[in-house]
Amino acid sequence: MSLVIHTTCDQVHDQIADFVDGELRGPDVLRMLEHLDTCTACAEEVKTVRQMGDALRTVAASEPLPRGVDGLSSAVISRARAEADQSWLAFVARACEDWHWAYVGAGAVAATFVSTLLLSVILAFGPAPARDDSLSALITNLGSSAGWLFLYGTPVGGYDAAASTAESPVLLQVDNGGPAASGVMRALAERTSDGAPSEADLVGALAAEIRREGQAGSFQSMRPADRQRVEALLEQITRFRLNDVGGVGTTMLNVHEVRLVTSTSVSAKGL
Amino acid sequence: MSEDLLVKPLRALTWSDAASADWALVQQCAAGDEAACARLMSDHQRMVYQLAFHLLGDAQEALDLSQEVFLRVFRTLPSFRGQSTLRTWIYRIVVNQASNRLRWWRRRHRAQQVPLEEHAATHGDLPDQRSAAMPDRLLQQREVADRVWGALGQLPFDQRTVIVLREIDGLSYEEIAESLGVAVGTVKSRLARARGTLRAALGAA
Repeated sequence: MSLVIHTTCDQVHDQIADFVDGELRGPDVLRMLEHLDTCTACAEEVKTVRQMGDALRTVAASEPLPRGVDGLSSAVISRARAEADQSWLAFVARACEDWHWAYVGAGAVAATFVSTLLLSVILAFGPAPARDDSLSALITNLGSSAGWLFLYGTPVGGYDAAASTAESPVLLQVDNGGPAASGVMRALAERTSDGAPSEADLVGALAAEIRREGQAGSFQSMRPADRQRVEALLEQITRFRLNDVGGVGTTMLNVHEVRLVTSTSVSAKGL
Repeated sequence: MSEDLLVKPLRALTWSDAASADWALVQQCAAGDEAACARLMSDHQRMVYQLAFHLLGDAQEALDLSQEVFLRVFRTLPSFRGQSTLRTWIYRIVVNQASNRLRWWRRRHRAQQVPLEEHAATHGDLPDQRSAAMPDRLLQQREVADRVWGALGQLPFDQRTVIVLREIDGLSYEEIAESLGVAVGTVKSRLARARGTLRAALGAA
Protein backbone atom coordinates (compact mmCIF):
# COMPACT_ATOMS: atom_id res chain seq x y z
CA MET A 1 0.00 0.00 0.00
CA SER A 2 1.44 3.36 -0.88
CA LEU A 3 0.32 6.69 0.39
CA VAL A 4 0.01 9.24 -2.38
CA ILE A 5 -0.17 12.85 -1.30
CA HIS A 6 -1.03 15.29 -4.05
CA THR A 7 0.67 18.62 -3.83
CA THR A 8 -0.38 21.87 -5.41
CA CYS A 9 1.77 24.20 -7.53
CA ASP A 10 1.75 26.80 -4.75
CA GLN A 11 3.21 24.26 -2.35
CA VAL A 12 6.18 23.42 -4.56
CA HIS A 13 6.72 26.64 -6.46
CA ASP A 14 9.19 28.08 -3.99
CA GLN A 15 11.16 24.84 -4.02
CA ILE A 16 11.73 24.66 -7.76
CA ALA A 17 15.02 26.55 -7.61
CA ASP A 18 16.20 24.41 -4.68
CA PHE A 19 15.26 21.30 -6.65
CA VAL A 20 17.17 22.39 -9.74
CA ASP A 21 20.17 23.37 -7.62
CA GLY A 22 20.18 20.03 -5.81
CA GLU A 23 19.46 21.61 -2.45
CA LEU A 24 16.25 19.73 -1.68
CA ARG A 25 16.32 16.86 0.81
CA GLY A 26 14.88 13.31 0.31
CA PRO A 27 11.16 13.58 1.09
CA ASP A 28 10.89 16.95 -0.62
CA VAL A 29 12.63 15.62 -3.72
CA LEU A 30 10.16 12.73 -3.93
CA ARG A 31 7.24 15.07 -3.48
CA MET A 32 8.61 17.39 -6.18
CA LEU A 33 9.19 14.55 -8.62
CA GLU A 34 5.70 13.29 -8.03
CA HIS A 35 4.30 16.77 -8.64
CA LEU A 36 6.34 17.26 -11.81
CA ASP A 37 4.97 14.02 -13.21
CA THR A 38 1.51 15.47 -13.12
CA CYS A 39 2.06 19.23 -13.57
CA THR A 40 3.32 20.41 -16.95
CA ALA A 41 3.54 24.07 -15.89
CA CYS A 42 5.96 23.35 -13.06
CA ALA A 43 7.87 20.87 -15.25
CA GLU A 44 8.25 23.63 -17.80
CA GLU A 45 9.46 26.00 -15.09
CA VAL A 46 12.10 23.49 -14.03
CA LYS A 47 13.16 23.06 -17.63
CA THR A 48 13.50 26.82 -18.14
CA VAL A 49 15.65 27.26 -15.02
CA ARG A 50 17.86 24.37 -16.10
CA GLN A 51 18.19 25.73 -19.64
CA MET A 52 19.25 29.10 -18.30
CA GLY A 53 21.93 27.48 -16.17
CA ASP A 54 23.04 25.34 -19.11
CA ALA A 55 23.30 28.44 -21.30
CA LEU A 56 25.47 30.19 -18.73
CA ARG A 57 27.77 27.20 -18.33
CA THR A 58 28.04 26.68 -22.09
CA VAL A 59 28.87 30.30 -22.74
CA ALA A 60 31.36 30.38 -19.86
CA ALA A 61 33.07 27.21 -21.08
CA SER A 62 33.37 28.59 -24.59
CA GLU A 63 35.32 31.63 -23.44
CA PRO A 64 39.01 31.04 -24.19
CA LEU A 65 41.50 31.52 -21.42
CA PRO A 66 43.97 34.27 -22.19
CA ARG A 67 47.65 33.41 -22.28
CA GLY A 68 48.30 35.51 -19.20
CA VAL A 69 46.50 33.01 -16.98
CA ASP A 70 49.25 30.43 -17.28
CA GLY A 71 51.90 33.03 -16.49
CA LEU A 72 49.95 34.32 -13.53
CA SER A 73 52.02 32.58 -10.90
CA SER A 74 55.36 33.95 -12.12
CA ALA A 75 53.91 37.47 -12.33
CA VAL A 76 52.48 37.22 -8.82
CA ILE A 77 55.69 35.82 -7.35
CA SER A 78 57.70 38.63 -8.98
CA ARG A 79 55.38 41.21 -7.49
CA ALA A 80 55.49 39.52 -4.11
CA ARG A 81 59.29 39.62 -4.19
CA ALA A 82 59.23 43.29 -5.13
CA GLU A 83 56.91 43.99 -2.23
CA ALA A 84 59.15 42.01 0.14
CA ASP A 85 62.13 44.11 -0.96
CA GLN A 86 60.20 47.12 0.24
CA SER A 87 60.52 45.90 3.80
CA TRP A 88 60.63 48.15 6.85
CA LEU A 89 64.40 48.40 6.51
CA ALA A 90 63.98 49.80 3.01
CA PHE A 91 61.29 52.10 4.33
CA VAL A 92 63.57 53.37 7.10
CA ALA A 93 66.43 53.83 4.63
CA ARG A 94 64.22 55.91 2.38
CA ALA A 95 63.02 57.98 5.32
CA CYS A 96 66.61 58.66 6.42
CA GLU A 97 67.51 60.01 3.00
CA ASP A 98 65.90 63.22 4.14
CA TRP A 99 67.76 63.73 7.42
CA HIS A 100 66.08 66.89 8.56
CA TRP A 101 63.02 64.93 9.62
CA ALA A 102 65.27 62.76 11.73
CA TYR A 103 66.75 65.87 13.33
CA VAL A 104 63.30 67.25 14.03
CA GLY A 105 62.26 64.02 15.68
CA ALA A 106 65.41 63.77 17.78
CA GLY A 107 65.09 67.41 18.87
CA ALA A 108 61.49 66.91 19.93
CA VAL A 109 62.43 63.86 21.98
CA ALA A 110 65.34 65.68 23.63
CA ALA A 111 63.21 68.73 24.46
CA THR A 112 60.57 66.53 26.01
CA PHE A 113 63.20 64.74 28.11
CA VAL A 114 64.80 67.99 29.36
CA SER A 115 61.44 69.59 30.20
CA THR A 116 60.33 66.54 32.13
CA LEU A 117 63.61 66.44 34.06
CA LEU A 118 63.43 70.15 34.93
CA LEU A 119 59.84 69.88 36.11
CA SER A 120 60.69 66.86 38.23
CA VAL A 121 63.56 68.74 39.94
CA ILE A 122 61.35 71.76 40.67
CA LEU A 123 58.60 69.58 42.12
CA ALA A 124 61.05 67.58 44.22
CA PHE A 125 63.24 70.36 45.65
CA GLY A 126 61.26 73.60 45.19
CA PRO A 127 59.41 75.40 48.03
CA ALA A 128 55.92 74.24 48.71
CA PRO A 129 53.53 77.15 48.07
CA ALA A 130 51.31 78.23 50.99
CA ARG A 131 47.69 78.91 50.35
CA ASP A 132 46.42 82.35 51.23
CA ASP A 133 43.70 80.95 53.43
CA SER A 134 45.93 78.50 55.30
CA LEU A 135 46.76 78.76 58.98
CA SER A 136 50.42 79.46 58.20
CA ALA A 137 49.34 82.40 56.02
CA LEU A 138 47.16 83.66 58.87
CA ILE A 139 50.08 83.54 61.31
CA THR A 140 52.35 85.25 58.81
CA ASN A 141 49.84 88.10 58.41
CA LEU A 142 49.37 88.48 62.12
CA GLY A 143 53.10 88.38 62.83
CA SER A 144 54.16 90.78 60.09
CA SER A 145 51.48 93.30 61.05
CA ALA A 146 51.62 94.98 57.70
CA GLY A 147 48.77 96.48 55.73
CA TRP A 148 45.55 98.02 56.90
CA LEU A 149 42.71 97.18 59.22
CA PHE A 150 39.23 98.26 58.27
CA LEU A 151 36.69 98.42 61.08
CA TYR A 152 32.99 98.69 60.53
CA GLY A 153 31.14 99.52 63.72
CA THR A 154 28.69 101.67 65.58
CA PRO A 155 29.93 104.18 68.28
CA VAL A 156 28.46 103.59 71.70
CA GLY A 157 26.75 106.82 72.72
CA GLY A 158 27.85 108.70 69.51
CA TYR A 159 31.00 110.75 68.96
CA ASP A 160 29.70 113.54 66.75
CA ALA A 161 26.16 114.36 67.56
CA ALA A 162 26.07 117.26 65.04
CA ALA A 163 27.17 115.14 62.10
CA SER A 164 25.32 111.92 62.69
CA THR A 165 22.86 110.21 64.89
CA ALA A 166 23.99 108.31 67.93
CA GLU A 167 23.63 104.97 66.19
CA SER A 168 25.29 105.87 62.80
CA PRO A 169 27.74 103.15 61.70
CA VAL A 170 31.30 104.25 60.82
CA LEU A 171 34.10 102.75 58.73
CA LEU A 172 37.60 103.27 60.16
CA GLN A 173 40.92 102.64 58.44
CA VAL A 174 43.74 101.82 60.86
CA ASP A 175 47.48 101.19 60.33
CA ASN A 176 48.37 97.65 61.30
CA GLY A 177 51.74 98.20 62.92
CA GLY A 178 54.98 98.21 60.98
CA PRO A 179 57.58 100.99 60.69
CA ALA A 180 55.05 103.50 59.44
CA ALA A 181 52.39 102.51 61.90
CA SER A 182 50.77 105.12 64.05
CA GLY A 183 51.61 105.56 67.65
CA VAL A 184 48.48 103.77 68.71
CA MET A 185 49.46 100.57 66.94
CA ARG A 186 53.07 100.74 68.11
CA ALA A 187 51.77 100.97 71.64
CA LEU A 188 49.66 97.90 71.05
CA ALA A 189 52.66 95.95 69.92
CA GLU A 190 54.70 96.78 73.05
CA ARG A 191 54.40 95.14 76.39
CA THR A 192 52.13 97.14 78.68
CA SER A 193 53.42 98.58 81.91
CA ASP A 194 51.21 96.47 84.17
CA GLY A 195 52.83 93.20 83.01
CA ALA A 196 49.96 91.97 80.85
CA PRO A 197 51.05 90.22 77.62
CA SER A 198 51.43 92.39 74.51
CA GLU A 199 49.95 91.60 71.11
CA ALA A 200 53.32 90.24 70.00
CA ASP A 201 53.28 87.80 72.93
CA LEU A 202 49.82 86.67 71.98
CA VAL A 203 50.80 86.14 68.31
CA GLY A 204 53.82 84.16 69.45
CA ALA A 205 51.66 82.06 71.74
CA LEU A 206 49.20 81.45 68.91
CA ALA A 207 51.95 80.40 66.55
CA ALA A 208 53.40 78.03 69.14
CA GLU A 209 49.96 76.59 69.78
CA ILE A 210 49.01 75.73 66.24
CA ARG A 211 52.44 74.82 64.88
CA ARG A 212 53.24 71.23 65.69
CA GLU A 213 56.65 69.97 64.63
CA GLY A 214 57.14 72.99 62.38
CA GLN A 215 53.91 72.44 60.45
CA ALA A 216 50.75 74.47 60.72
CA GLY A 217 47.88 72.22 61.74
CA SER A 218 44.21 72.66 60.99
CA PHE A 219 41.32 73.48 63.27
CA GLN A 220 39.62 70.23 62.33
CA SER A 221 42.54 68.13 63.50
CA MET A 222 42.94 69.88 66.87
CA ARG A 223 41.75 68.51 70.13
CA PRO A 224 38.80 70.49 71.60
CA ALA A 225 40.91 71.94 74.45
CA ASP A 226 43.65 73.14 72.07
CA ARG A 227 41.08 74.53 69.73
CA GLN A 228 39.46 76.52 72.54
CA ARG A 229 42.87 77.97 73.51
CA VAL A 230 43.57 78.98 69.91
CA GLU A 231 40.18 80.64 69.59
CA ALA A 232 40.73 82.50 72.88
CA LEU A 233 44.12 83.77 71.68
CA LEU A 234 42.65 84.92 68.38
CA GLU A 235 39.89 86.72 70.23
CA GLN A 236 42.42 88.39 72.54
CA ILE A 237 44.53 89.53 69.58
CA THR A 238 41.42 90.94 67.94
CA ARG A 239 40.54 92.80 71.12
CA PHE A 240 44.04 94.28 71.26
CA ARG A 241 43.74 95.64 67.75
CA LEU A 242 40.31 97.08 68.33
CA ASN A 243 40.79 98.32 71.85
CA ASP A 244 41.75 101.92 71.10
CA VAL A 245 41.85 103.20 67.58
CA GLY A 246 43.12 106.58 66.46
CA GLY A 247 40.66 109.19 65.34
CA VAL A 248 37.92 107.93 67.57
CA GLY A 249 39.64 108.83 70.82
CA THR A 250 38.05 107.10 73.79
CA THR A 251 34.80 106.44 72.01
CA MET A 252 33.68 102.85 72.39
CA LEU A 253 32.59 100.97 69.24
CA ASN A 254 30.32 98.06 68.71
CA VAL A 255 32.44 96.40 65.96
CA HIS A 256 30.46 94.51 63.37
CA GLU A 257 33.22 93.56 60.94
CA VAL A 258 37.03 93.65 60.75
CA ARG A 259 38.95 93.26 57.48
CA LEU A 260 42.71 93.00 57.14
CA VAL A 261 44.01 94.23 53.78
CA THR A 262 47.58 93.09 53.25
CA SER A 263 48.02 94.19 49.64
CA THR A 264 46.22 95.70 46.70
CA SER A 265 46.87 95.25 43.02
CA VAL A 266 45.83 97.07 39.87
CA SER A 267 45.18 95.15 36.69
CA ALA A 268 44.85 96.67 33.26
CA LYS A 269 41.44 96.61 31.69
CA GLY A 270 41.19 95.46 28.13
CA LEU A 271 40.21 98.05 25.57
CA MET B 1 36.50 -12.10 25.04
CA SER B 2 37.81 -8.82 26.14
CA GLU B 3 41.29 -9.89 25.10
CA ASP B 4 40.06 -10.22 21.53
CA LEU B 5 38.57 -6.81 21.53
CA LEU B 6 40.57 -4.45 19.37
CA VAL B 7 40.36 -0.84 20.18
CA LYS B 8 41.09 1.30 17.17
CA PRO B 9 41.99 4.93 17.70
CA LEU B 10 39.34 7.23 16.38
CA ARG B 11 40.51 9.49 13.64
CA ALA B 12 39.72 13.15 13.98
CA LEU B 13 37.11 14.05 11.40
CA THR B 14 37.27 17.80 11.62
CA TRP B 15 39.11 18.02 8.34
CA SER B 16 38.57 16.10 5.18
CA ASP B 17 41.62 14.85 3.36
CA ALA B 18 41.30 17.62 0.81
CA ALA B 19 41.02 20.23 3.53
CA SER B 20 44.05 18.76 5.28
CA ALA B 21 46.03 19.01 2.07
CA ASP B 22 44.87 22.59 1.68
CA TRP B 23 45.85 23.31 5.26
CA ALA B 24 49.32 21.89 4.73
CA LEU B 25 49.68 23.95 1.58
CA VAL B 26 48.58 27.05 3.46
CA GLN B 27 51.16 26.42 6.17
CA GLN B 28 53.93 26.05 3.60
CA CYS B 29 52.88 29.22 1.78
CA ALA B 30 52.69 31.15 5.03
CA ALA B 31 56.22 29.97 5.81
CA GLY B 32 57.39 31.58 2.55
CA ASP B 33 57.78 28.44 0.44
CA GLU B 34 57.66 29.76 -3.14
CA ALA B 35 57.09 26.32 -4.64
CA ALA B 36 54.03 25.91 -2.44
CA CYS B 37 52.80 29.34 -3.47
CA ALA B 38 53.20 28.41 -7.11
CA ARG B 39 51.28 25.18 -6.53
CA LEU B 40 48.48 27.03 -4.75
CA MET B 41 48.22 29.40 -7.66
CA SER B 42 48.27 26.70 -10.30
CA ASP B 43 45.51 24.90 -8.39
CA HIS B 44 43.31 27.96 -8.24
CA GLN B 45 44.32 30.35 -11.02
CA ARG B 46 41.70 29.24 -13.52
CA MET B 47 38.99 29.41 -10.91
CA VAL B 48 40.08 32.87 -9.83
CA TYR B 49 40.47 34.22 -13.34
CA GLN B 50 37.14 32.84 -14.55
CA LEU B 51 35.22 34.18 -11.58
CA ALA B 52 36.90 37.56 -12.00
CA PHE B 53 36.09 37.53 -15.72
CA HIS B 54 32.48 36.60 -15.13
CA LEU B 55 32.09 39.32 -12.55
CA LEU B 56 33.93 42.05 -14.45
CA GLY B 57 33.26 41.04 -18.06
CA ASP B 58 36.72 42.07 -19.24
CA ALA B 59 39.66 39.71 -19.77
CA GLN B 60 42.44 42.18 -19.06
CA GLU B 61 40.73 43.51 -15.95
CA ALA B 62 40.18 39.94 -14.81
CA LEU B 63 43.87 39.15 -15.24
CA ASP B 64 44.90 42.21 -13.26
CA LEU B 65 42.39 41.37 -10.59
CA SER B 66 43.66 37.78 -10.41
CA GLN B 67 47.14 39.05 -9.64
CA GLU B 68 45.76 41.32 -6.94
CA VAL B 69 43.76 38.46 -5.49
CA PHE B 70 46.76 36.14 -5.19
CA LEU B 71 48.90 38.88 -3.70
CA ARG B 72 46.19 39.47 -1.15
CA VAL B 73 45.87 35.77 -0.53
CA PHE B 74 49.58 35.49 0.27
CA ARG B 75 49.53 38.63 2.43
CA THR B 76 46.61 37.38 4.50
CA LEU B 77 47.39 33.66 4.55
CA PRO B 78 48.82 33.84 8.08
CA SER B 79 45.39 34.96 9.27
CA PHE B 80 43.62 32.04 7.56
CA ARG B 81 42.31 29.85 10.38
CA GLY B 82 40.46 27.29 8.34
CA GLN B 83 36.94 28.22 9.44
CA SER B 84 35.98 27.89 5.78
CA THR B 85 37.59 25.93 2.99
CA LEU B 86 40.49 27.47 1.13
CA ARG B 87 38.38 27.61 -2.02
CA THR B 88 35.52 29.57 -0.47
CA TRP B 89 38.04 31.83 1.29
CA ILE B 90 39.66 32.65 -2.06
CA TYR B 91 36.23 33.12 -3.65
CA ARG B 92 35.45 35.66 -0.97
CA ILE B 93 38.61 37.60 -1.74
CA VAL B 94 37.82 37.57 -5.46
CA VAL B 95 34.30 38.87 -4.89
CA ASN B 96 35.50 41.63 -2.52
CA GLN B 97 38.26 42.71 -4.86
CA ALA B 98 35.93 42.69 -7.87
CA SER B 99 33.37 44.72 -5.96
CA ASN B 100 36.02 47.27 -4.96
CA ARG B 101 37.32 47.49 -8.50
CA LEU B 102 33.87 48.02 -9.98
CA ARG B 103 33.14 50.71 -7.44
CA TRP B 104 36.44 52.44 -8.17
CA TRP B 105 35.89 52.07 -11.91
CA ARG B 106 32.40 53.59 -11.73
CA ARG B 107 33.68 56.54 -9.69
CA ARG B 108 36.60 57.16 -11.99
CA HIS B 109 35.00 56.62 -15.37
CA ARG B 110 31.42 57.65 -14.87
CA ALA B 111 32.18 61.17 -16.07
CA GLN B 112 34.02 59.82 -19.08
CA GLN B 113 31.31 57.43 -20.26
CA VAL B 114 29.86 58.15 -23.68
CA PRO B 115 26.67 56.53 -25.01
CA LEU B 116 27.29 54.08 -27.84
CA GLU B 117 25.17 56.09 -30.28
CA GLU B 118 27.22 59.20 -29.55
CA HIS B 119 30.46 57.30 -30.04
CA ALA B 120 29.23 55.90 -33.37
CA ALA B 121 28.17 59.36 -34.53
CA THR B 122 31.62 60.72 -33.72
CA HIS B 123 33.88 57.87 -34.75
CA GLY B 124 31.70 55.81 -37.11
CA ASP B 125 30.24 52.36 -36.44
CA LEU B 126 32.33 49.80 -34.69
CA PRO B 127 33.86 47.35 -37.16
CA ASP B 128 32.02 44.05 -37.20
CA GLN B 129 34.89 41.62 -37.19
CA ARG B 130 32.77 38.60 -36.56
CA SER B 131 30.60 38.40 -39.64
CA ALA B 132 33.48 38.59 -42.10
CA ALA B 133 35.41 35.52 -41.01
CA MET B 134 33.09 33.41 -38.85
CA PRO B 135 31.00 30.53 -40.08
CA ASP B 136 27.31 30.74 -39.35
CA ARG B 137 27.44 28.32 -36.44
CA LEU B 138 30.20 30.19 -34.70
CA LEU B 139 28.49 33.46 -35.39
CA GLN B 140 25.32 32.17 -33.84
CA GLN B 141 27.21 30.96 -30.79
CA ARG B 142 28.87 34.35 -30.52
CA GLU B 143 25.55 36.11 -30.66
CA VAL B 144 24.14 33.85 -27.95
CA ALA B 145 27.21 34.47 -25.82
CA ASP B 146 26.88 38.22 -26.31
CA ARG B 147 23.25 38.08 -25.28
CA VAL B 148 24.07 36.07 -22.18
CA TRP B 149 26.99 38.27 -21.15
CA GLY B 150 24.90 41.35 -21.88
CA ALA B 151 22.07 40.07 -19.66
CA LEU B 152 24.54 39.06 -16.96
CA GLY B 153 26.18 42.48 -17.12
CA GLN B 154 22.83 44.14 -16.50
CA LEU B 155 22.39 42.39 -13.18
CA PRO B 156 23.32 44.19 -9.96
CA PHE B 157 26.68 43.00 -8.66
CA ASP B 158 25.31 40.99 -5.73
CA GLN B 159 22.86 39.12 -7.97
CA ARG B 160 25.48 38.55 -10.65
CA THR B 161 27.83 37.14 -8.03
CA VAL B 162 25.39 34.55 -6.71
CA ILE B 163 24.27 33.35 -10.10
CA VAL B 164 27.85 33.02 -11.34
CA LEU B 165 28.92 31.18 -8.19
CA ARG B 166 25.91 28.87 -8.43
CA GLU B 167 25.51 28.20 -12.13
CA ILE B 168 29.05 28.48 -13.46
CA ASP B 169 31.22 27.60 -10.47
CA GLY B 170 28.71 25.14 -9.07
CA LEU B 171 28.92 26.20 -5.42
CA SER B 172 26.22 25.07 -3.02
CA TYR B 173 24.06 27.61 -1.24
CA GLU B 174 26.11 27.15 1.90
CA GLU B 175 29.40 27.66 0.10
CA ILE B 176 28.05 30.78 -1.59
CA ALA B 177 26.90 32.10 1.77
CA GLU B 178 30.38 31.46 3.22
CA SER B 179 32.07 33.11 0.26
CA LEU B 180 29.92 36.21 0.48
CA GLY B 181 29.57 36.34 4.23
CA VAL B 182 25.77 36.36 4.08
CA ALA B 183 22.99 34.03 5.21
CA VAL B 184 21.76 31.15 3.09
CA GLY B 185 18.35 32.79 2.91
CA THR B 186 19.93 35.88 1.41
CA VAL B 187 21.65 33.72 -1.18
CA LYS B 188 18.35 32.11 -2.16
CA SER B 189 16.52 35.40 -2.47
CA ARG B 190 19.30 36.96 -4.53
CA LEU B 191 19.40 33.91 -6.74
CA ALA B 192 15.65 34.03 -7.31
CA ARG B 193 15.80 37.72 -8.25
CA ALA B 194 18.78 37.14 -10.53
CA ARG B 195 17.05 34.30 -12.35
CA GLY B 196 13.91 36.37 -12.79
CA THR B 197 15.85 39.29 -14.24
CA LEU B 198 17.97 37.04 -16.48
CA ARG B 199 14.95 35.26 -17.81
CA ALA B 200 13.27 38.54 -18.65
CA ALA B 201 16.41 39.88 -20.32
CA LEU B 202 17.09 36.76 -22.35
CA GLY B 203 13.43 36.34 -23.26
CA ALA B 204 13.17 39.93 -24.49
CA ALA B 205 16.43 39.81 -26.45
